[in-house]
Amino acid sequence: MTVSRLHQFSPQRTNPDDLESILVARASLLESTMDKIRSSSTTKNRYHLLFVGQRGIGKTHMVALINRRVELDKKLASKVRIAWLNEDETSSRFLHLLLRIYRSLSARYPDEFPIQDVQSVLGMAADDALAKLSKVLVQRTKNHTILLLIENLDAHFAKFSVEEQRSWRGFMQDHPIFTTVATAQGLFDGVKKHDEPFFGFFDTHHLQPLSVEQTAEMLMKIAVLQDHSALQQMLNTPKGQSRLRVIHFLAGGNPRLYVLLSELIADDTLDDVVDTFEAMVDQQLTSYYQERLRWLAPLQQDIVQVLCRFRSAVSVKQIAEELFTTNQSVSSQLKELKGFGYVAFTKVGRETRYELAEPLMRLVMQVKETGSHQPLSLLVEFLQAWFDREELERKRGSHVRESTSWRYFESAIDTYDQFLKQWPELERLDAPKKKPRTIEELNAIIDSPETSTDKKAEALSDRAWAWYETRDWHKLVSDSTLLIDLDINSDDFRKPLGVWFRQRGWVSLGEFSKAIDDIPVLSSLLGEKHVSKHSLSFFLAALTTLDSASLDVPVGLLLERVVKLGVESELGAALVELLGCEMLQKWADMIKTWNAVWQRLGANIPGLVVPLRLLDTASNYLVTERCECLLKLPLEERKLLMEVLRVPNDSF
Amino acid sequence: MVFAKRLGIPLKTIRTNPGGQLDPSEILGRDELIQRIWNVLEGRCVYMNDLRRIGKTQIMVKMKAEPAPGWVCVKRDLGRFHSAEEFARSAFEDSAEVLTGGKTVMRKMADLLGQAGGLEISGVIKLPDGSPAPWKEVLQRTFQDISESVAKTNQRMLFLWDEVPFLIDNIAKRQGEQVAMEVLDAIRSFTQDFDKIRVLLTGSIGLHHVLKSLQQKGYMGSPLNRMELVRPGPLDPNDAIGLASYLLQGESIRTDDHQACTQFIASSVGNVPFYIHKLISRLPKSETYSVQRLGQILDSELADLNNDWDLEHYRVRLGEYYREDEPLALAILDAVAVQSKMNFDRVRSAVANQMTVGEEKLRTVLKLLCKDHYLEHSHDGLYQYYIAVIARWWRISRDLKELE
Repeated sequence: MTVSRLHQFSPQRTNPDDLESILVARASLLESTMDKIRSSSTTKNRYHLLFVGQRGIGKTHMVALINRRVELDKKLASKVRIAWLNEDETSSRFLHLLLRIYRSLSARYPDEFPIQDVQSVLGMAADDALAKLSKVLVQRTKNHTILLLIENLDAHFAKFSVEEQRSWRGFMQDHPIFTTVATAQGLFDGVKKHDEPFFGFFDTHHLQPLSVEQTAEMLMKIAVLQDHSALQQMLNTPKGQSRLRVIHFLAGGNPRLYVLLSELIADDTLDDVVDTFEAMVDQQLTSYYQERLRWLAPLQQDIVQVLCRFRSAVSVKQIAEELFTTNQSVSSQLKELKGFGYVAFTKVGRETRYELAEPLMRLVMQVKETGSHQPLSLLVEFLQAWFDREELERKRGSHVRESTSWRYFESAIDTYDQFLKQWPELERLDAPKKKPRTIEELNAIIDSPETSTDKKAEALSDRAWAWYETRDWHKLVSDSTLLIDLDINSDDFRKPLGVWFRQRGWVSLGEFSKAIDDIPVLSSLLGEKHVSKHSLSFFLAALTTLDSASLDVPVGLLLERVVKLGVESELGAALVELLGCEMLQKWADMIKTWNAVWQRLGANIPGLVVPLRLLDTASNYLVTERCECLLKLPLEERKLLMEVLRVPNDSF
Repeated sequence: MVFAKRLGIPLKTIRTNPGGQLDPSEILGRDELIQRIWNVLEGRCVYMNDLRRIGKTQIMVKMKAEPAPGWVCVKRDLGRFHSAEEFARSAFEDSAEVLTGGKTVMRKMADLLGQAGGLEISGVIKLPDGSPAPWKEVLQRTFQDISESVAKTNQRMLFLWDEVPFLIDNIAKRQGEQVAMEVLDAIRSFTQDFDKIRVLLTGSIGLHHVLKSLQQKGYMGSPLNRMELVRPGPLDPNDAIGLASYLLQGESIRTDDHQACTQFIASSVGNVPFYIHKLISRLPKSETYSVQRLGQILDSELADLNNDWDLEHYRVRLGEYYREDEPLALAILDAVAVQSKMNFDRVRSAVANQMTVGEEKLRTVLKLLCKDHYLEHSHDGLYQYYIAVIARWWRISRDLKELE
């Protein structure tokens, strides 16, 4: 089988069938566009559509599909003549544009638009040539509609004087033979400013970045198309989805980047995504972003570079000061950059703060600027640790729905979520839903030699719940140890539940080392190769029950062990996830103390830089209740923290 | 549907096409206005002026497609021409194309050009010796030929000339202000001299902007003096609702209350067809819309700093138009934006909270704001925004709350 090749930077060179088969998210817009082209072939309606979106968002993909669909529709093709202009050429005069349109038609329909017409005007005075070519084009078109496919319309307008734009618009008004499908990286003055000739002329549609789900759908289609079984399989696993989310967080929904980065998802043997990611930064992403930067006007490039240097959202004034220019000129360029998808903004009261829309761009530039790989690797590692809640779901998924094991895992996920949301109200949680039994009844079951191992495990876990609720920590440790040592299936959730109980007991008894020893035991029982943020989350939750004065010892011991195991990112993810705990959020004093201990003891651990920054910001936010605190974080970190803290996007 | 019945057209659906070229059958709600224009044209020429995107060009398209009995029409976008010679050539060629008998009836022009004259396609008309024909003479002879030709068939000729200000500006830039002034005078003079010929002038920007600039260079003429000023304005509310209804159906957009939603769409954008097309074209088809949701989408469009509605234009140009009176204009516009309709006394007391201003000054600025299409003064003496969507944007951009 021939493997289809997708040209990431020149979709028009990709087999159109393949482009059709990997289309996601734009089907409705495409169909609507086709309806309008059909309408323009049978009525006097002429449509002028403009698809706007950053590079790699799928504009050329759309144009290529429109071209193909018109060709395949024989009835429509007989009424429409397509002029698809080369996207890399631009024109500075309307006459030049008209020549390009004619040449394009001539190449496709040589009998209807003979190239001699072009040759006959060469050498004429420009006005005469324009008059003649205009007339010839209108005559040759007969009763057809010309479908003008023109990419990078913004680049054309940048070269066209206002007078040339008037000529173009006037020609289209006088000779309504064109329906236009144009693309641009952003809205530009030529179409959006009230006094410009083409103001309001184009029906603009912004191509939105893909969601995680749409990305997964697209990559699956690509995997099927390319017969890439490893990618197909990986996309169906929690690990694949986890990696996809990491990339989504960094790439911000740009389909071209996803295709570029799909190998990161596909390779199951990649133990260290970070290394591969950084290799990709060196080999492909840097040149990709440099090319995007080159496309901008000089002041726009300067602004982007300033935003790359800042880690937080900054005001117009700050940028202007950095560039020794006026607020006004920076402000107008920022609006352009926003239109091109380079910057995002947040309004705080009457002030607007700007930052880079694609975190990956800043990271790539930072890596190149500083020569240090630290920011990228730190963040990617942290995000890798962050997006793996699916592991528990996977284990649940391996059991028959509603079976005992399934219910235990269901309970585990539920409990885990409760930890994140409501802990320490966990203490008021009921034991697994069933008829409550007295301690005496449970003792009888546990002590009876006739009791099966399964029943014994069930009774032991119920009795442990009872000790947990009455805060009898010694008995809790004792029963949970019995539960752990029972000869039951290692997949049975009662074993990890036992470890969790025992850990909670050890913490309350001040036996911190023993509690920490149980972290890898819990991970192992949860089927994890390494200590994960899940097992660390349970331990951290237990720690928050201690007095603030007692935190130093266990936190110090934990950090020592975490560094030894090399799971700083996992601890960081657990620390951040715990911020979702409602009670922690409500108690300003608790979060302040908690934050202070971690900042003091964890300050020198490189892998905790990002999470401790998030913790510190969250603490400030929760104490002051001022959203502005969050703006000190870079976009990708802020988005994540706002999700954890459940801060609505429109809070500023 | 009431709207369809009222207009006597079959129930139909229309696809959104903001800014595009509409099939004349889809240019709705302008029939009464067009009939009024035809009536005016019986006696004099017309200058059509209004806000950009109100639909002036569409009115011309419909007039050309459906001319009144006895009229022969030519429509031309003059913005594409950059010299008086190109303009004159278009007048000649366009006339020859529509008149019965074509170029053969253009006898005076034939005298000028000789046997082969005008046959060759070029930017300007050339004399037998190859030199460009004098543009004024071309216009003069063309008008004479038209006049004689239509008299024989008992018809009249109408030039629908769009983007006249662009033409004048183009000529001023390429050939100098003097030629631009002469073109304006020629248009005025010829349209007065030939009773069988009328012109309807319009443009994206007001001709008075170009005139003002020429007057600073010494131009004394008044080319619009004897023309009737026609201000098309938005659609009648019922027509605007009908258009919204057709478009929602044409785009297969679901609503929870069709009537309420069409009413909201039409009124929230001030019954301007372009904005009705535009708002509906921005609605994703995946949703079912309520009035509240439509309001959210419109507000988010208007609040987007990078939107393509460019209503900011109405704020920015105040400085240029009103200079030292800008603070007063702002105070008035702020007051009317939150109250929706105010009489003079209420405007005066609202403004008095912010500044001291004499009554006459206030009246003068209010009049100017009406002339510049910010406000309108209704027959019952109330001031309100001319276009509702501008008021809506004004409140959003200036953090004002509409009072109940």
